[in-house]
Amino acid sequence: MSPNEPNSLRSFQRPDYSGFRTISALVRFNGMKFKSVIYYVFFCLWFIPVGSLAGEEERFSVSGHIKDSKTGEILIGATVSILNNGTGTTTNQYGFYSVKLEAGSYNLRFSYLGYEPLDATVELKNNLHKDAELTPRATTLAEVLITGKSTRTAVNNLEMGSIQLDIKQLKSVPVLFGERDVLKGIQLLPGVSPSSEGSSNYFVRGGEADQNHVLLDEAPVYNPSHLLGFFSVFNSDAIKDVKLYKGGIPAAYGGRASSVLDIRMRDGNSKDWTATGGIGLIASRLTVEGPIVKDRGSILVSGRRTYADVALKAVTDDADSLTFYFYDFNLKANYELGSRDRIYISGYLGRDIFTRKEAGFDSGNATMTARWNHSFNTELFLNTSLVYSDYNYGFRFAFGKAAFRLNSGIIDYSIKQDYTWYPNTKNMIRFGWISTLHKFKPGNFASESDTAAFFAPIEPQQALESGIYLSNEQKISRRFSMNYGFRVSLFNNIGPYTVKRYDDNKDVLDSILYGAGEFYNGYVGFEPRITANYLIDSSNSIKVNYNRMYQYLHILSNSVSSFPTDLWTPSTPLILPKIADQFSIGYFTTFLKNTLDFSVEAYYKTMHNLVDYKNGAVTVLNPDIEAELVFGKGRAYGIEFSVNKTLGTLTGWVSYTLAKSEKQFEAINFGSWFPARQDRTHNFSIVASWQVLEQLNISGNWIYYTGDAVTFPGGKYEIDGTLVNLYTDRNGSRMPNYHRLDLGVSWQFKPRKSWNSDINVSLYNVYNRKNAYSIDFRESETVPGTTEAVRLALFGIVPSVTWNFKF
Amino acid sequence: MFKIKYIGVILIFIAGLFLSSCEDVIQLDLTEAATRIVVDASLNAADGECHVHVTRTLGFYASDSSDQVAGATVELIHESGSKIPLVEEGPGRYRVTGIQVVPGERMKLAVTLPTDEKYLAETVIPGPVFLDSLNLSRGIGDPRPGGTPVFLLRPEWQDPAGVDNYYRFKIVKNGELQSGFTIISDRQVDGTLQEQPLFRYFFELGDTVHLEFQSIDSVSYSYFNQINDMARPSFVAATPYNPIGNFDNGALGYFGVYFSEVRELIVSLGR
Repeated sequence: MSPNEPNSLRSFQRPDYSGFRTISALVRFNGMKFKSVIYYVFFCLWFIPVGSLAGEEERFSVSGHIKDSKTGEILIGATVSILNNGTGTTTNQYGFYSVKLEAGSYNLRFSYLGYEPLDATVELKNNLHKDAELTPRATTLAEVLITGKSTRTAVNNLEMGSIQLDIKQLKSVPVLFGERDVLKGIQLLPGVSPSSEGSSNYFVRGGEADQNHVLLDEAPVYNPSHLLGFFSVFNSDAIKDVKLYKGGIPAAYGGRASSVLDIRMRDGNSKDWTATGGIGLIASRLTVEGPIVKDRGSILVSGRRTYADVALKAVTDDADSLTFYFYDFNLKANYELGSRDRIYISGYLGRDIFTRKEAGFDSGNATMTARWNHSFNTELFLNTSLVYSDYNYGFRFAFGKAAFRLNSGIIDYSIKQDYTWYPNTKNMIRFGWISTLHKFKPGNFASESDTAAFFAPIEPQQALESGIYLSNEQKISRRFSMNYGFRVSLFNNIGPYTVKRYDDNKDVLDSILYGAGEFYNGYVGFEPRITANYLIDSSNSIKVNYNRMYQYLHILSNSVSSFPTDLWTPSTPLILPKIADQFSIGYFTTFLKNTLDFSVEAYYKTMHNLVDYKNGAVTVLNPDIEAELVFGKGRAYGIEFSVNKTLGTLTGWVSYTLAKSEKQFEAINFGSWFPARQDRTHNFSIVASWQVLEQLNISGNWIYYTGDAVTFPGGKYEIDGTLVNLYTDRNGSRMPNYHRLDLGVSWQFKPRKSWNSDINVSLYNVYNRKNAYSIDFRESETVPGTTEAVRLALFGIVPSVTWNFKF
Repeated sequence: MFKIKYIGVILIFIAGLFLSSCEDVIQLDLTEAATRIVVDASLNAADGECHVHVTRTLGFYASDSSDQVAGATVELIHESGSKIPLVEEGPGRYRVTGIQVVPGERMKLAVTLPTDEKYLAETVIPGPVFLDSLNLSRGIGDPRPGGTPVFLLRPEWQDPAGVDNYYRFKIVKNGELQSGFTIISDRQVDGTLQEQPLFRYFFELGDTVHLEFQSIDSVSYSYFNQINDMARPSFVAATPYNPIGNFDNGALGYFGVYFSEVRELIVSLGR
């Protein structure tokens, strides 16, 4: 049996799907021979101990945390260089590093982008704990000009297809309504493009929007957007680090086919109490942070709320008029229990609220993460996390005496452990496990009065998603290093649930009822992840990568826009997990004294078990939604070029992507390949920030991409007096190409004794291009009987002003 | 059925209004699709009248709304084999009256073009269902700013249990036919009393309402449902496709049978 062909009822041909199918059958089913899996695992396990056994000489570790000297924030991905032998390491996501060396005297250099490097000499006779505090570089113009060597390590490091977004750089990117936004920022990167105008959703390397994992302090955020996506839920004041993995996804991550966006909240200032905030045209924000106990623990509280509703009420003086707003609330606290233990609590709560007298809608996310960092010794670091995530939405509407309510959502409870083991300077081994209980609450209408419900109930579902992983980052020789490992993911549907089979008329053929707690269906996925880096010389390298990703949760949606009502559903006996295989190769170089980074990456990706609706599907409140689905596959390939300038008065990047993304469904276009909606041939963006004076910064960005592949009518006809459009090939037409220029100016006021502030003016869509959000084909309102194409452009030129302060 | 996606439309409309959205007519080059035959055929079982409209599809920007196909031979074929020819009353428009049918029986419609292409469709006659009452209800959007009350139509009827039923509401407000297809299936509510308001149409005091309540066959329901799917604004609509009816040989359109009942009222506070 071909493993990944489009299918409908195939999984039902198996007589029994309770519990796991046998491992070997499953792994073969998932497209890889069991033997090769064993070989691969053996390969990984064989390599790992080699390094750790190699050190016969007496070796000691130097380990510790790297922090910001002003705020005490830990620094993620900071570099520790051992100047004596040219080796080094980087801090993990908790700011921890460890290096094992022979006894002796060493010169260490701690460095991080945007910070003054710090040198230290250590005498290594025992295991040593060494924390380092780096001072941010002053941003005065004179110093910007003389700053030295780039600390970026794109050439050297073992990461590929990943980009760490500089939050400080992001702050100068002009944006819609002046609301700085990490999700808008990443859409300017090569290989990434917005799903539609102003949207927080995005496509990565030809994948669909639901294939991106968005994590906030390890908690999945199921709907990272406010107000139909025009704003993301991430308040940039509370964010420390943003990292996007488009490929080369580490084995520690799993669950989505395309990408991982790992967002870390700031820990809060552990030295002094500070407040930062901003007042904008449509929203204001305030962050207060400070030490719980100086240098041992800190707390950060951050809030943001829009006030368009207040403004609207003031204008219309209609008390009953529509109210709509959203708010975000972030909380983070951490405390160092000792040099070996640190605990963190972080939480996020955000909601969108739209109400009118007799109808209302609200939606939002809540996440909570509790973490415990523990170093067993100088070599072994452990993080244990408990994670909770809840996304839900609700409607209420009333007419006459009757009132109806609908609530729907998804809740996750996770427990995970991630170990980092530093056996020596040549190897860094990561391993761990995660187990998540997903609870899916589908949309159900409930009547608040005695009126009979007019929709059949939809059963809630439960599933357990687990993963274990092992990977090693190994320096094989001075020039050659590899990161290899694997993840095994497991997915189980858990009762109570009624599994149904359908015929071609979408009628139920038969059904099986599973009891509470019964594991009635399971999948196992073997996910190899491997990246190799070959250094040609100190400023040129070539990297190759292969990874396989399994995705067990899916958004069933067939419309262009993203709606709060787009709901996540689990894989079931019928809906197979999505599988993506990606192969990529890249060349990385720096030139002009390391001030310019250049990279080119090519990728080829195949996707299996993609889901789409049948034509005419009843997609809303349908208990038999599985009868409305068709399954197919996809492929995407492309090449990404990027030039990045991180130092000097002029910084920014230029990126260009040439790409293709196609799909194949038996039931669509007679089974031939057709372009996916997100098949954007050309995607170009330029982002620049110019520090003209000490106080004055001018920034701009211009983006261009090929219009989406869509289906436009090629004719028309009439049925019962209603005009109906005649269509031809699926996605055979193109939306007009998209392009837009944004500009921003920010002025830093002279710092006062206890506070400073800046003002930011930005213009979105400077030349007022009417980019089509959608095009509708309909009967003319002015000339009856004729038809016309009507373009909806969401934003013309949008000016905005924001005043930011800090004291 | 109340579509949640409409909330999306409302939200985006509000957002758009508040921001700086704009709609304009653009000239877009479209690839012209090959011409196809369209048969729009329905039989009203209540009064025994059958109307068939045979056309060809037009280019999207064509100024006419239809390209009539005259001179076709159109016949109703009862399951017993008896044939009833339709008469061409105007170019492309065919009609016959006095047809008597029994629910559950199968009926076919055959169209033969002057060029000899043949198209055949078949359906099953649905059972008749009648309204218990037609009421008015106040709800969403009521009252309008300024205090004008807004009314919704609230038809009440008992859905017969154990059979698939499909309904359509055709509404004429102050002499003007309201566009679109308002249809309901009993798929999830079989055998229950139906009394939800029609959210799609709003009425004010003094409006004249002419409501045609049709119990339609599954072919019509599925066909209209597909047309509705395509009629939503494109950013909430499904990926476009051509609705599939019951004609063979690649003809667009459908042949459906329905029973209908007409109610009229004038909107007043007393109701």
